[in-house]
Amino acid sequence: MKQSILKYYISVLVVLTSFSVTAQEETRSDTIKSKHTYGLRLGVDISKPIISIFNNDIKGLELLADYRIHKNIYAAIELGTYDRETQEDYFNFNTKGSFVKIGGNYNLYENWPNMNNEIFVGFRYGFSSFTQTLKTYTPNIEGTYFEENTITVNQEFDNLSAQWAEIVIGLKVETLDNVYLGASIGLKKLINEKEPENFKNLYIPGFERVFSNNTGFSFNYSISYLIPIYKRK
Amino acid sequence: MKKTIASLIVFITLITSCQKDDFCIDQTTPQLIIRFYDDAEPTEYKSATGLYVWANELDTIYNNVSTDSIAIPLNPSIDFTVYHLTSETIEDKFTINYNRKEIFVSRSCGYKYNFENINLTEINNNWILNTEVTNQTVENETEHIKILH
Repeated sequence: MKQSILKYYISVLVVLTSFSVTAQEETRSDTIKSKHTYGLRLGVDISKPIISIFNNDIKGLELLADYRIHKNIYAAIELGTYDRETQEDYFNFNTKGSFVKIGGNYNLYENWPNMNNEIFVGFRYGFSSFTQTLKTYTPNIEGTYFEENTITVNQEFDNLSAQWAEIVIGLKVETLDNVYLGASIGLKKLINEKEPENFKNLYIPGFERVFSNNTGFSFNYSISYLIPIYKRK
Repeated sequence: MKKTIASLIVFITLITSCQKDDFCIDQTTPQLIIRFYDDAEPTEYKSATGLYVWANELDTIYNNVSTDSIAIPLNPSIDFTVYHLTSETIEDKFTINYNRKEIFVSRSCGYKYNFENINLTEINNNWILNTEVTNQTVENETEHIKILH
């Protein structure tokens, strides 16, 4: 529930940020040509530490970096770790591991002179290596004729992995000199996975919840710093 | 174009803010099926009349019914279940032995049990004249045990 409220606030922030970006675009003038800054931008996802404060069962860290390789094209990478306890109706388990996502973003937003904001679409290839630990389960028996006992298993399934493709949509706004606030969502589709025996990868680090048709969804809210390297028209 | 993308972000974020609950609709732990046959004509079904069925120390599952087929649960905590079957006030009992095998079904259903190596021991033969295990594995709800009477 707390998580839903958090997501709601983040949604509102996304709405407000996008309005402020589109409002600026109405009064655009393009008589002055300016130089664009190229460089390496390093950031961190701030939504995951906030979620950890509200929900002790989820711990995650995600670092992001991108490098502008052309006027509107950025090479991008995200790295992270993830540790999550999940309680389902009939069992509970832990997912722990790390992930990397590599790809690029294309900026669709035309800036005012000397502004460096982005509304982008991107593509990522994701890879994760992780461990699932089935802690307890209660066999699912129809009716209540016999009592159901919860069984403690603590079985670890390690050396699991998954690969996926991801489409990213998001925005980045320069709020202070070289400091950017960003928000993005990712829609994912599993390409392949190494599954535990007699269990399933229900969460995957970097992919988040695996829905029944092997799709996934995630969002991030980031703060990043641009290390300027050179300027170009 | 930019507005479209911005509203798409908003739209998808809002939709996924409400988490969907999924419900278990797959088959979970199956019950054991017993069918009653005529001892004189072993291929013909014959209903047991005035039938009461219960497991050791528990309430009755069937109360004074006439049927040629019953579905009974097996105890998921131990590897045997003792059942009592009474027809027209004559009581018989037997022990059903099995091995439990846990099988992962889905996120919402969790684990179910299948029962393997079904066999019957300590069978009384008052109204039950003969028994036969026709399917040693309980993984779906078709006939597993034949009772001739």
